[in-house]
Amino acid sequence: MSGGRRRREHEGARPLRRFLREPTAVVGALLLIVVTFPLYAASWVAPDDPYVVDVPHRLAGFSRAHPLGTDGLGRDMLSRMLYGGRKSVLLTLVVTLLITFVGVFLGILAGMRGGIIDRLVVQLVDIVQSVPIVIVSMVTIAVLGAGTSKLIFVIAVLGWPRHTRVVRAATLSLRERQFIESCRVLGASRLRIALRHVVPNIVRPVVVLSTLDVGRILLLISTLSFLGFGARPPAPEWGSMLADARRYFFVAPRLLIIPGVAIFLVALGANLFGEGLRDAFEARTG
Amino acid sequence: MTPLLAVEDLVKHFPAGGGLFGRHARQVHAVCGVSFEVGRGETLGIVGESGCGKSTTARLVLGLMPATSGTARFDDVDVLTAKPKALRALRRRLQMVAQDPYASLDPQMTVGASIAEPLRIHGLYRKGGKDRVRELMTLVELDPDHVTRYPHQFSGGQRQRVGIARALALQPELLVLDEPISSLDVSIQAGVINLLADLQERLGVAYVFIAHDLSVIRLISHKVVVMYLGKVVESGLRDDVFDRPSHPYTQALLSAMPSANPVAERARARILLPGDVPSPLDPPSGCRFRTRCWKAQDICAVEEPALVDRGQGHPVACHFAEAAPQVSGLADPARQDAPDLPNAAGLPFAP
Amino acid sequence: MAEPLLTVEDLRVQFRTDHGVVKAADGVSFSVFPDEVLGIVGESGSGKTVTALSVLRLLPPTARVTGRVTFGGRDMLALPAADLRAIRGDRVGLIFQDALAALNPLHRVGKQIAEAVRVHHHGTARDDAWKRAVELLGLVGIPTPEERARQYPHEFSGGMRQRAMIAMAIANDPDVLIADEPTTALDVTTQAQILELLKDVRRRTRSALILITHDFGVIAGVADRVLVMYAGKVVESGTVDEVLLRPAHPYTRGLIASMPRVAQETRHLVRIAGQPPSLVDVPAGCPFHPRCPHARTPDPCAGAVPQLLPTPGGGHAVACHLSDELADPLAELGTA
Repeated sequence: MSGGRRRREHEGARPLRRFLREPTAVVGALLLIVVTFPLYAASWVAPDDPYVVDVPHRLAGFSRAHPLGTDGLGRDMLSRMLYGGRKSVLLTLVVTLLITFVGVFLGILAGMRGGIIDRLVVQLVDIVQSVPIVIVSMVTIAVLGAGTSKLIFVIAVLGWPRHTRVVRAATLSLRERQFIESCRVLGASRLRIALRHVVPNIVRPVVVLSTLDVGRILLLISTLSFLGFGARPPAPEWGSMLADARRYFFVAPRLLIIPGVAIFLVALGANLFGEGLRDAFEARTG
Repeated sequence: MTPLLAVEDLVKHFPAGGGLFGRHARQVHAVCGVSFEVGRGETLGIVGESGCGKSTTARLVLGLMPATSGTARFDDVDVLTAKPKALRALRRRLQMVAQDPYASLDPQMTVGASIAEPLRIHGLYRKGGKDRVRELMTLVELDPDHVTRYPHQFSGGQRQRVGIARALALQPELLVLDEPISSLDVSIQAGVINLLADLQERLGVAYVFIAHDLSVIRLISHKVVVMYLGKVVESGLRDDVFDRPSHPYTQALLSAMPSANPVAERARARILLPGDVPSPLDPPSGCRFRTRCWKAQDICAVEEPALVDRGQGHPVACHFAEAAPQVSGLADPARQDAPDLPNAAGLPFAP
Repeated sequence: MAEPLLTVEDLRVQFRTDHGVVKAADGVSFSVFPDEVLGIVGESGSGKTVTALSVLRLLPPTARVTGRVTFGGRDMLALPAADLRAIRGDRVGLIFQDALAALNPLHRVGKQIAEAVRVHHHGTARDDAWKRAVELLGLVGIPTPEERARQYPHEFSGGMRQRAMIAMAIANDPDVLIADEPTTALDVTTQAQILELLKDVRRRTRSALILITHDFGVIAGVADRVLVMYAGKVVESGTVDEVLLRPAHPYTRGLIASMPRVAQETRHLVRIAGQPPSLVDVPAGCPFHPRCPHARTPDPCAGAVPQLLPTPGGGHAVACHLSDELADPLAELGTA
């Protein structure tokens, strides 16, 4: 009855194969893994406590004891990079997740409900998107004080519009599709349709969007920290490490280069990975 | 006996934009006073070309959109004015099979989950739901072991069967099928038609079958309704309409259907309608068909003909209705004495 | 017998895809004679459209085409691009299924037809070309052609757009017209109009017509000869009377018998078991054998590919290993 001798594969397998065929995607994934892996293992790999100050050995070059040298206060760079990286990446992930949830929720709400609610959300999106995130962050933190939790709060509150727009558009187009109408005829409530039909069908574009956003958010966090609005010293964090390193630019440029390159690589890796995902998913239709 | 579904004077106008603040806004007159009845276990075929309003009628009857006026009573409950709770209860008895098998199933759900969904929605899955799903797959001649597969792993015809299984899950009394086979290859259509006929015999479910293909309508319907530009122009028992078409449009429609017999085709005189279907934004006054009708007279522009029996034995909306049995490409004089079916001639294909 | 206008020999078209090599056309051969209508019938995936498009080399660059297509004494597949362009729209006219896709939405209809004339007859003055465009629109039955010529495609109805496309195709009095599912997207009454128009136009211009469709009814009314295609191969060919009234190939028989038009009285249709094969994975030997009720496997049906051979009656050829056994009064589906 179900003729044909094609092997029936699970739907998830094909995008994976296609993903593996895209060079950018694979490079991105590898890059991410390589650069972020040590961060998970920070406690085992780090040769030293990142807070230990050792002024006599400050600004030392590469050595066995300190593979990446020491910073202006004699702290081990490698350890600071590892712990700092962990902090940066964790912050980024937390913020990205928050933005994703808020964005998806509002996007589906607007798309499914339509009418006044939709118009309100769209207005909100327009307003929030036109707010300059860096400036507002600076003002908020100036008022409320610095600290990672405030940072997360500000970025999350201002960063969701992109997700909402994408999800809302996807929801609107899904609503028109025949299978959604079929569900209505079956008696499904709007909530059920949203949860069981809309969400699974927008997972892919949302994952792509969030992955591509990781780079942007990491850069944002690093920038804000660089400007002094993030992690408070002496906590290590790549952005603030960059700020500290400025005054040593001529003496020990590696203090600037190392965190800078690290930020760049993670952002690049995330972008490549995200694009690879997008291509792998998109090619699915056909 | 009360009919299962009784539609009376159904009207639907869509706003078509234009005009300041909705004043003088143009209207699409999609459905303009349609009435019909469907009895238990029988099939009503609704046939017409694009723009005639048949799909809109289907949606209205299913309660998917509000009507401008009119009633659609399913066993005495008006679908159009029912409260959400009552409508939900109705859903168990009145279901739909959609046209496009490639779009009517959620691509992210297994076919088993799709078929089970109506059961879950109405709280019927917990007790024996799994078995019921397998039972339904078998009913539509699909392998029940394939419940875990995804829609893209099935062909068009098979997906349509999944859609049918899903529609039957709640054991509805009436199924609305909107062009269920138009998207399928010809050699696959036959299988689905046979299945639908079988299911009706076995389960006693009634159909409202909407199509533009007259030959399919002829095969499966007990009663037929012919629509043109939002109105019913002719209706009646299937044989009445097909053997004695009395409205010029019905005659033209039947005449336009080419048969697969080249000798008959060459011998046949064909009715060709001039021009195109007028816009539903601005339908002709009086009889809507008059702009393309060879019988049109002055009265046709002034007075809209009512849908009544004018001596042909079934209702026709034409001032000059006259039965013309010879027009049909389906009525094949060359085949009158032919061996009945290829089947009978011994071709060993499975029915 | 007259010389053929167009000859296709052993045409093979392949596409490389993620899933493998798609053999869209696999050894197709046929001829088209002047002033005749050749119908090519098949379902989706049969290769009929690919065959027609390859005649004018209109396939995407990913297609690998081999074989010979002889027209006017030259091999179309080997022609330089400039010569090919000279033939397209001039000696060979093309009518597509979707008029909206074929007509440029940004140009007036009259202008597009006039373009078609001027591109091939460089000397033509703009006025003359416009007049010819209006004349052609009138010829294809469009009322008030002077006004209509100034309109844009979206202002035309579906049926009228199709007429406009036919006008463009015949603008230069081509020797051959190729119509790919010209009426599939249209309503039945419009379909009847367009078919009648095609017959009319052909009578006037005396061009040959290759009509591609999945609908046997369309073929019955218009074609002189028919080719039936399945899985990229021609499985049966002959005059329209022969093929439609005395089909020899089990696929053709099954297809005709499964048409709702044919089964008149009962609600039970004959149907063909199984599905059309994937073109990446065509069955060995006769492509139809997995679905054929008469098939004898492995020999001969799963072994060699059956050749298209003439039947004893004449005017008819079929590609079936068992054609002798199956050729029988059984095959008659009706009295002529």
